[in-house]
Amino acid sequence: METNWNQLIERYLQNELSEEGKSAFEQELEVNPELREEMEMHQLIRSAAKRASQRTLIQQTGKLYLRNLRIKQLVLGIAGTAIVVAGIVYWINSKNNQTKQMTENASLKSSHENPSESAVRTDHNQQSNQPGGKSSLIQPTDWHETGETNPKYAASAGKHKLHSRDHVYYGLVKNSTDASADTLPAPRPTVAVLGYPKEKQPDGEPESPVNNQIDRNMLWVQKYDSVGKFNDLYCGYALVMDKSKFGFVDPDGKIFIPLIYDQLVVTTNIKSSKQKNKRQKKKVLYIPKRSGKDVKDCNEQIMKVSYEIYPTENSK
Amino acid sequence: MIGTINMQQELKQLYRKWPDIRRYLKTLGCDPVSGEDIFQEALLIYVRKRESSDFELTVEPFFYVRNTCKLLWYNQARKEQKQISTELHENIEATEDAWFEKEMKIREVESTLAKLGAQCQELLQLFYGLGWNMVDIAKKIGLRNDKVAKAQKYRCLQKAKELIHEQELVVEPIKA
Repeated sequence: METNWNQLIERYLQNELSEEGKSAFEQELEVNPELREEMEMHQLIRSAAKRASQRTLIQQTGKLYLRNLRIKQLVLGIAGTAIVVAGIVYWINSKNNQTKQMTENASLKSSHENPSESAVRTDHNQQSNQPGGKSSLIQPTDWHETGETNPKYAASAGKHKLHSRDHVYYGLVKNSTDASADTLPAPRPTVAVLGYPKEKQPDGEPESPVNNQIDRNMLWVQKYDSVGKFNDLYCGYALVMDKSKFGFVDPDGKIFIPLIYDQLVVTTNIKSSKQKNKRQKKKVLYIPKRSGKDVKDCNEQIMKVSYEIYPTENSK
Repeated sequence: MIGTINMQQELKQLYRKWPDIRRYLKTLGCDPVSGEDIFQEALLIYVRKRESSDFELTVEPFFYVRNTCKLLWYNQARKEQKQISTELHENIEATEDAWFEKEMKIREVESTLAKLGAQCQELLQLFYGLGWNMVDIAKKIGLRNDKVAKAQKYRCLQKAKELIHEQELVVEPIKA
């Protein structure tokens, strides 16, 4: 019976009953207190259910709100870190570029200064030779592409009748040992430093023997990609490079150590350096590192001897 | 159904103001945990008020909800303070007569409904609260068709009534 009432009440409240049924139900409601109670209960449940649904709706909204908030915060956080990282990367990059540019500028500057200030440079050379440090041995200024033509030089070369000589060698011979091996291209200041003021005046005769020597030197200089200075540290021999192989020549341009080496190592302890580079496939030329007074009293044989005693394994 | 969607939108709008209300409640000395409860309760009151026909909103919803929050918090704080106010409380109960009694009953029933199964709860809420039709409800809660859903609804009602009767049996001796 109760279940029937349930249905009846439900249908009554949903307005699903016919007019007849409705009036009958209302009559029954009036006379039957049990039904009234049931009806009340039913309505209570309905409103309670409604209340519950509202509550869940609010709770859902709250959860949704919180979730959206979290997502927003997460997205903002990610975006923020991305911006910061990008900024740092950009900053580092720009800093690197700056330093690169600075070094490029510096090297450019020095290479520009060199030809015009050879007098200064000779002094500078000797100074830098004194400490005999590794860094001072092979300086960027040691190397001059022979293909590179300095207008000033071309001009002075023209003066000295070095016809169409684009490639000018301006390395210095070690003046203390071999004066005759003067390979100066004879620009004014260098000559003055070397102490041949009269013979090599800027307007001096082009037929001087020095010039012949230069001519001869020019020929062998041209054979190589690059020629270093005749350096005290190499006992007056000059480092030459051709097709990225290293070797040494004497002041006359004769090959002293053949150009078969990929790498040049200047070291105090040749044995240990050799040990270190054992695995490498490169051909390495080891040169004893000399410093201080060693540099001055150059044993002519030091270079040769070290080369003969410790030829690289790969050399023939 | 359209009404509930609107209501949801409105609730979202109001929820965006939650940080403001939280700050406001904080100035009144409310801790954040009960703050959220109060806020949700206030929203509930607002929703219910909106649905009754004789309710006219004279201020913006935000201010209404904020004010409700304030009153609710005062009420709670007073209850929490001491039992001095019990006398006063009874007086209030006496004055608020029928409405209050009904309100208490609804709350009681609501807590009883929470003891029903999850499916029953959802069904009753969807049907009575959101006014969905039986076909949609059947689809939503995974019943075969609207007839099954309807039968299920009666079963749920019956169960709810039984639960309430049980409760009353327990409660009645205290009443007497």
